Amino acid sequence: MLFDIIRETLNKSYLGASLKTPLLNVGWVLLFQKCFKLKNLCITVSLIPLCWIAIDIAFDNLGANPIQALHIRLGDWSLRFLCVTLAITPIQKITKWSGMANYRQLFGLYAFFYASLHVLSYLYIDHALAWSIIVTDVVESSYIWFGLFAYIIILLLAITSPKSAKNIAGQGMEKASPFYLPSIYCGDYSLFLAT
Amino acid sequence: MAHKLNINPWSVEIIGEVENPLTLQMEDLLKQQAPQEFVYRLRCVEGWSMVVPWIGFPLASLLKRVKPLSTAKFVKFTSVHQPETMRNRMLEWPYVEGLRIDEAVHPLTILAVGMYGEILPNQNGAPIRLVVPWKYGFKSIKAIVKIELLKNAPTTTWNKYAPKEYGFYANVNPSVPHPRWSQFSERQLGSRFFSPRRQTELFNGYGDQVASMYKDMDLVHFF
Repeated sequence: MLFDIIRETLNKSYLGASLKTPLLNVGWVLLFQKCFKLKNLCITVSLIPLCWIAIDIAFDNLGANPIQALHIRLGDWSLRFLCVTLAITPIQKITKWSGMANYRQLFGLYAFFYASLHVLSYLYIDHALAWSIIVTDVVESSYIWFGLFAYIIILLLAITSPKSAKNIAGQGMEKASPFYLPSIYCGDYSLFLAT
Repeated sequence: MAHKLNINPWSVEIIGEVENPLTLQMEDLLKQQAPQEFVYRLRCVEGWSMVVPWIGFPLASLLKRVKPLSTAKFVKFTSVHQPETMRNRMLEWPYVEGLRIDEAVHPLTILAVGMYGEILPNQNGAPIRLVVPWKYGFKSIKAIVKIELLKNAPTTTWNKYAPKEYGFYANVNPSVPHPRWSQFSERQLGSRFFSPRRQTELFNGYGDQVASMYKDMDLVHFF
């Protein structure tokens, strides 16, 4: 899916349109423009939180309970990307700038990406896949129910995100984006219950 | 902001249902008690645990000095109140905790003045704190200034804040989940990524010594 986005970005970026009429027809200007296309920039910047967390792991900078800190930070970043995703439609309406629709998918997929790491860190880093403990933990922890529900929603959104899936599912899936809202409610409520 | 806490001078008041109420300066208190090392597992209500070598003395040996009356059924502990050094406004300060008298004089219940061979750091409850190893960590009140022996159970801070979530007893019990999370397992601090969690034990593993105090009690009701 990420490759789809990158390919799509390279093919029809909004700022990419300016490439057809560069001010200076010099190779490095083209390269500069290509590197700093807004969508590429978004893809790169969205990976900074992951790098930041990786650096904190490498330098043992996650505090007394690093596993919990890692888990919480991944979840927080998923919620932040969900907020950005949800903010795009209102911003589009207010500014009347239609150039942001593709970014909704991009940030939505990043929310899914961080949510997946959040779930994997719970299952694998914290619980080492000890299923007997995991099952009890999930059954007895109401905050996890909401997190899990939020993840299922965003997982379904991500699966149906590529164009091919939308074609199979029909036009209805185009209207799937409102489901980000319950996902963020559940995610937020999960965080609220856990703290 | 624990590092701003002013702990010098410090005195502890021991009053209430006692024959011989006392106010002890920290120095005198330390002279009278012979601190020893107690290696206990501390289990936090939020699902982590850690083995800590405390330095302290049994609470019972201090209580003996004030001669509790037969009417003393509970012990109330009060933390220092220094609003200028405390930012957390969620809870009502000063922090208050309590124990039943038999729990308070149990040989495992200690007052700690140090850990890891050093005096207690401020954030760990300097200069004197309670350690009750078979109960969740929030029972082990820090920076104690007052110990009162009472006829009735005191209202304790977390229990007052969320009575359905934090009981007076707060005994470690894997089969009584917190309303919002499981207490079945715990993350041992210092353990590696990808290592499984430890299965929590009833009374945090101190059941042999303490279970008899609760033998006629419904541990789900008195959580």
